[in-house]
Amino acid sequence: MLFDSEFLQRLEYLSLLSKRVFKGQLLAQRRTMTTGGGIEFADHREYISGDDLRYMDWKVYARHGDLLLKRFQEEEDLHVYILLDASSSMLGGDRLTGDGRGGRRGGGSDGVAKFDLARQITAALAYIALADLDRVSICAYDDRVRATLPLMRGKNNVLSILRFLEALSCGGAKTDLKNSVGEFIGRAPRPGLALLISDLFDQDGFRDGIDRLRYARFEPHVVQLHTPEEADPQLLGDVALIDCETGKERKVTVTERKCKQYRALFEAFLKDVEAYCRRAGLSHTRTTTEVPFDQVLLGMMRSAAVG
Amino acid sequence: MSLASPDRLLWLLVAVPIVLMYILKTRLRRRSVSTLLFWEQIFDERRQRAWWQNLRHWLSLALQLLVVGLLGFALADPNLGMGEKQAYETILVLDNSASMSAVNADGQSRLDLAIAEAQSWIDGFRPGDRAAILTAGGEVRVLCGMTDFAPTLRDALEQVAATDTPTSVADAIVAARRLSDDAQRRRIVVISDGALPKEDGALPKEDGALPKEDGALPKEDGALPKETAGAETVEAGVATANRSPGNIAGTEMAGMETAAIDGPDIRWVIVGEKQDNVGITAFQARRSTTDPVGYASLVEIENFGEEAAEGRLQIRLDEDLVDVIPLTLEPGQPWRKTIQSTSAAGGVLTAQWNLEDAYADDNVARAVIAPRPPIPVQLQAGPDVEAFYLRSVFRSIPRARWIDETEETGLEPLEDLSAALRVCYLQNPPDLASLMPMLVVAPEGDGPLLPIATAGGSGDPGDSDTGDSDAGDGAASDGTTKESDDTGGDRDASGRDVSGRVAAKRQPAWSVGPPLPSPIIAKQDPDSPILRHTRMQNVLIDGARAIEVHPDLGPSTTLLETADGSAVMVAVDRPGGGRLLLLSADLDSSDLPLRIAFPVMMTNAMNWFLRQSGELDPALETGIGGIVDVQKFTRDNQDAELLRINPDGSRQPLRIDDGKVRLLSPSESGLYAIVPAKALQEWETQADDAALRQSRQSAAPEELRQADLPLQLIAVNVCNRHESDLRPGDWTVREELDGGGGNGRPLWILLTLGGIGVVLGEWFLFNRRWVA
Repeated sequence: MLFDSEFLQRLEYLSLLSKRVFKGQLLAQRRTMTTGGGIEFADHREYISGDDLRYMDWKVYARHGDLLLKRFQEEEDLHVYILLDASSSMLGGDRLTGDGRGGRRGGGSDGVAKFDLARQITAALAYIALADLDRVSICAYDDRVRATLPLMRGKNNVLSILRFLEALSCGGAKTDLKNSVGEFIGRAPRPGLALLISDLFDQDGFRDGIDRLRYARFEPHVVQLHTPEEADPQLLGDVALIDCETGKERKVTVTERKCKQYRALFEAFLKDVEAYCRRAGLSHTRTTTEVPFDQVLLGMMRSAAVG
Repeated sequence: MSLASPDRLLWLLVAVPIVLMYILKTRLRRRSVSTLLFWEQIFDERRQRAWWQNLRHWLSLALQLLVVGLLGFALADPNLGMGEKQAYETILVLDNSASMSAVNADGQSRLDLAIAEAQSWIDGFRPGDRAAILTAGGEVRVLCGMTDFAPTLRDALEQVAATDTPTSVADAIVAARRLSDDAQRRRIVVISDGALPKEDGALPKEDGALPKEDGALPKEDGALPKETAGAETVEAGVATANRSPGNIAGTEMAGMETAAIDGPDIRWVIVGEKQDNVGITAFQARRSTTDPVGYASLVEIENFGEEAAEGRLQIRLDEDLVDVIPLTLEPGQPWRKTIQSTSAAGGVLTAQWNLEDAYADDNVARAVIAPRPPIPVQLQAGPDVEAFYLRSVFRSIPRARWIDETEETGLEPLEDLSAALRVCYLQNPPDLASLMPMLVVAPEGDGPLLPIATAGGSGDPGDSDTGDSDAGDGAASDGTTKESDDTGGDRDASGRDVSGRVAAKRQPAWSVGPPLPSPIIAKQDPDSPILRHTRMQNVLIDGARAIEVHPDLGPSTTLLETADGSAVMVAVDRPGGGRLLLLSADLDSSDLPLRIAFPVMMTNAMNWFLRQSGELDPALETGIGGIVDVQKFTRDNQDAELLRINPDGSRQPLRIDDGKVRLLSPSESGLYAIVPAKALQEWETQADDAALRQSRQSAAPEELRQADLPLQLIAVNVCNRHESDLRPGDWTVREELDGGGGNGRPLWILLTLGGIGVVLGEWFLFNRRWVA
């Protein structure tokens, strides 16, 4: 069972820990940049004819004779969108069998499947957001948006989120983040925090999709997953490699030298993602399936606290 | 090329399924991956696989087929270019000389390496090959004759033992050529460390002596002390010992012309690494000819290394330290010294170099110094005769111990009487039966009567009568009574037989003439050891009378005679009895005792009486035998059986030839002993329990010596420059004899090894995927 009672206990623990770590700086307690009908004073501006006289600062007028209007910072709920990669590559590759709902395939000897870990991280983040009274929406995608959980608020919706996640499965002919993000932006009522949980194995590249989120005034946060086998494949000899998304087969002879080249390429890919996020000012978390989800969350919290 | 088992070539058919499997191998392992993004960047998109492209690893297939081919031919056991009639006859000559005992840095001796090398040769023999094994340390030994049975050869190899002997590779090669007279099939494999005399590939003439350069040691070398004549004496003794006719190996080798140790049928296999070594190359000791208890020893040591060696040379006489000489030995410079000391007891003199090096046995050398025990001297003189000069001169001889006429000698009768001396002054000896040597000075008259030639027939002095024909007093000694009874006749007052029949046959042992008118010595025997270092010409001997010794008494030698030819001093070597020296000089009236030559002459006479000539009792060299005088064991018992006791306690019977035995080629350095078998057997049976008895049955010479058994010790040392020099010269190892497999291994082993190598190569290239 993906979300058992122990999992829920660990979610609660993470929620409490997040409040202690962020000390009120998390999610819904953050102020928006807009001014409006809030109660907390922001600054003054000159009075313009037609302004509501209730916000006139009469004390300033009495002292200096200037007509200044008080402005207040507007508070609003933060919208948290979680974009979950549900493409076939999230199964982790090797021995592509089963119903596509994950399980202990491709996760190495001690880890879980990549998609399982992604769902656990999704559930944890959603739980923390709900606990902070934010609005949470989950969007599963492959080459397009496959399933969407509408915005919901309050911890009483946790079970709905967990049921939604459990019902998700991997599939799709390929990964198309750009197209999926386009669909997502069209459905999102307003910008917010966009948590992208994916392996970023997109045939067309990951940049376009994330850039599109940024252009739509979302605040992307990238959680990148991969398995140990993807970083260091134990393949030698003549093999037929099958792309689990496209089904494309490639007969190759893998030598030590080729393996070394692969490891170098994969390392360059990881560094490329990291460099991109750094340049774009995005937070980026990378983990493997060998790391439990709560450790991943704790790592994210620590990096956020330091940052 | 022929195949021993051509039917096994059927194994080559294994190649067929290999090719089939290679071609039919179309199904690849299928592996699902998350993305091909990275793999496609690595592999060229244009390369496609087809069924026929399964052979694109043609190299792998070719290697696998090569493996099958090599192993198939290995099973068929091919012989290159030789049939049965061309099989080799290999003679393995193993050098087990002294230098082969040198230990390499890895702890292995050169002999171990040589045996391992011989083992590899034996392993490499093919069907039809025959081989023999010879050892070339000291005497050439054939451990195993020609055989084609490898286990016999291996058993023979196990018998190879290290020796301390010099190498005899040249002899071994000659013997090896005798073992196989077919020069085409013969190959002689000499496995040695190269430590042998070599001059352009040939042995120099051997005479068993030290190499020539040894005799020409640079005396002007600053390291060599300027020694006295004693050193020259000892050196001469060393040379005498090494060149003596008794040097068996030297004698046998003397006739050997230069022996070629190179030839087309010889392959040299040099084992061992170049090592520095210090060795004692000569060590001899001898009794001094002038000092009764003195001795001198010559030691020579050389550094056969590349750097100077610092150490100490210790000289010990048994347990007593005689000298410790700190030395710095320069490479290639021999150091030699004569060391003089005194010891009456004698013993085993040991020289030891204290630094450990690659070869230990040449760091120790031994020599035997004979004991010089006190000699009881019994004076027999008249009651009123003081014999002042005689007493004085014998008191001045260190080894002489005076005892009175009436005092017992303290010696066991018959056995040790030969180690005592009776001096008769102005009297004749009471009898001639004693084994005790006798010095008769100024005899009163004719000597005791000799025995009847026909009675007893042996001229045994014990059967003689005594009497004084001049005195005619009729007084007969105690011994005459019995003899008279034996003859069965009575004597008259003049000592003659009543019947007069016997008197015609009995003669005095010597007769003394009237006093000479002018007794001046005119001639002395220059060869007599009694007169060594003396000059007696023109010495006036008052009261001297001519002495004439009866031939039946024994061979006599006139030592001093006057101008008219009168013998005044005669030495008689009585067969089966003590030696006799007659001097017809009245010491109280002549000036002879006042001469410096007199004590010297008496000292020489002491040595002569006791048959101690001061000659060198040489230490032998390993591998070179010698002749040892064992008369002290056979003098009383001609049928005595003697045993040779080796340093390890093993025993060998000795054949006695004219009072001498041959010590044949001792292979081990150390102390040897010659022991009468009877005495040894009695000593063994005296043991209380069986364990002690068994222990005594394998007792070493040193143990026998401590048991006070009558024995003669012989020291045997390595003392060989060629064996101590552990730096083999520039040896050109013959690369290959014509025909045969490399390194003597059969071709099937090489093929198998090649197959294994190809398998490993194919595995690394393809299974490790170094070749895509």
